[in-house]
Amino acid sequence: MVHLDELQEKYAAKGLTVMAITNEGRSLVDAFVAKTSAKHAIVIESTDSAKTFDIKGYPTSYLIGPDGKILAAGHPSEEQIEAALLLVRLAPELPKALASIEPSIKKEKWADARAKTQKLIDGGTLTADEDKDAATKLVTWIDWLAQSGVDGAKSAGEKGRWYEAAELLEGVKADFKGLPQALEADTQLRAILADKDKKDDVTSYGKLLKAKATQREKDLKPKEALPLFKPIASKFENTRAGKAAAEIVRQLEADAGK
Amino acid sequence: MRWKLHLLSLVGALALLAPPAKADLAEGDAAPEFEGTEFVNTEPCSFKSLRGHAVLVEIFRTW
Repeated sequence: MVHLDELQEKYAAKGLTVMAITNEGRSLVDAFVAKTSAKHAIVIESTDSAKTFDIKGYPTSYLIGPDGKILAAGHPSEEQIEAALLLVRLAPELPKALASIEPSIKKEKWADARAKTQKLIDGGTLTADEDKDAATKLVTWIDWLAQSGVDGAKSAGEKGRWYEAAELLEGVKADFKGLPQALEADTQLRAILADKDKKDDVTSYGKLLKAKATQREKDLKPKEALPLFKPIASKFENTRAGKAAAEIVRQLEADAGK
Repeated sequence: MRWKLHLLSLVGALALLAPPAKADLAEGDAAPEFEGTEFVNTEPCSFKSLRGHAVLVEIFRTW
């Protein structure tokens, strides 16, 4: 993946993160890195992005925008990458006057960071214009970060991906506790879980991901894996995860019979 | 009267063209989060932790 290294080198400083993702084992990945001298990030996942992104072949790449939404599917061009970089919203640099906020940011305690920054702004302790400016930028950035999670959940919901929506909302709830966006996330999450079909999607999809992770971790034979997927297929037959589980059951049964 | 008929047929045609509610993952959709267990050449990360960046992600196999 020389190409990925080239893109990384060219655009990293402008806010592009390049990563390759696989659910193969570490030894295969290490051998791959030794052979290709890849310098870009490689993530070994317990999830199955090939399936969740529904790719048609390997490799397939996606360009994800700063708000967490897909900007280009398939193989993004450099024009598309450059357009995406115009949207990048990196955390603002902190001047010395805001050094006290840094630990909260490092720990991703966003509500905490926001409250402390606001206190500095309101308390009038920031005298230099550039410090006031940086503080305001930080507050705006944290608000944007929280809102992007809520918006992402909305777009996932529009496609019937309630599991993904719930995950995003849980994230906003936990990471931005005390901010209005966390309250909104909580309200929306309750609404999802109060609707039987939506809740079924959340529950079944979560179970499916867990079953797949267990199958992979324990390296189960088809016969041993069947009990993981059968209940999902029968209990949630009308959900996307139930249908996927039914498909897996058919495949496992065919493999077990061999 | 005739334009109304045209309008109706146009609306009908657009309805046929409208994407199904549960289309495949496409542009504008939230990227489905992954759970990384091991990280090579990088600190642990997720789409969530990379919010604010543009991310080029390649789903690959070593073979």
